[in-house]
Amino acid sequence: MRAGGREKPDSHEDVRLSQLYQQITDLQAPRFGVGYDVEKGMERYRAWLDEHDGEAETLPPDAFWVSGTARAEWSADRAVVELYAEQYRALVRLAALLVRDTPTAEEVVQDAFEAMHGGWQRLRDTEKALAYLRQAVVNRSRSVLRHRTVVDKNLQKAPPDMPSAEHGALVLLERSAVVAALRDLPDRQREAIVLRYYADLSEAEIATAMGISRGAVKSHTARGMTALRTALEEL
Amino acid sequence: MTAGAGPGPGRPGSGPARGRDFADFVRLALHAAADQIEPRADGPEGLVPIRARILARSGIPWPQAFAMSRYWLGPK
Repeated sequence: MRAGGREKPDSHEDVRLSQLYQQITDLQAPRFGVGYDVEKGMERYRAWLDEHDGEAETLPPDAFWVSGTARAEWSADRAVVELYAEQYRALVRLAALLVRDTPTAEEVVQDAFEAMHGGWQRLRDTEKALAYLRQAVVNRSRSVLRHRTVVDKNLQKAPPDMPSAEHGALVLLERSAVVAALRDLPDRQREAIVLRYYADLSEAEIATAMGISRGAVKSHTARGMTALRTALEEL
Repeated sequence: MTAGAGPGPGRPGSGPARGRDFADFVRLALHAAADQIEPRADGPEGLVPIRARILARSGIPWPQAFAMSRYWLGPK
């Protein structure tokens, strides 16, 4: 557990704790369901944000720092709520195509939202925030795969992060010949193809999400598509 | 039938299509595969872990952060 309040958290510890609390929530879901109404709760929270957005707008631009921080917090909270409602599912699906399992994909996307909230003062715009979220999802997915490779090498057995058979989404994913073939491509080629043909992003948007040039996007996409076609021909 | 899950381009015996057709085939296959994925925590409930992470970043210990995030959704 984090001591001293503001120490930089250990990301592995965070992930483990997040998984633990998610499991506890899943187990306690029926009991939680008795005491909470999430839809009504969200309505109340949105109303609270509306109310405080109004207050934030009335603050002078040079209001002392606490007010400024509070204003940024309100905007960041609102951005998280709005982008979550619009993009969460699509981002989880994007991440799942990259990391190949849904629980890890959700972790990746939650992590990206947390980072976006933290960087809101720099972003201050939902378009920029969405581009940031995509970039964070791609980067974090890459880290997950890198971590898996290291663990696989050490344990010399099946990937430990792979979910059990109960996660039907993975089974469904693996049923797709294209997704199975995609798995064997180099990371960059896989990312370029998923961002182009699943997320329907432009070359420029893919370049931003992957942190590479447009020329490199073209090259990775073309090579990936050729490799994919070859793999499918060999089936 | 979903793209990539049954007979058609890319499946044994037919061979993948070429050029634009292949791009369309890949697009359909990826969308079909992705459409099967449903986040475990969908709807407003999914905001709880995100909110908990945000609170935890500000120094609130995880158990409290998680409890606060749940409570933030509000009682009936």
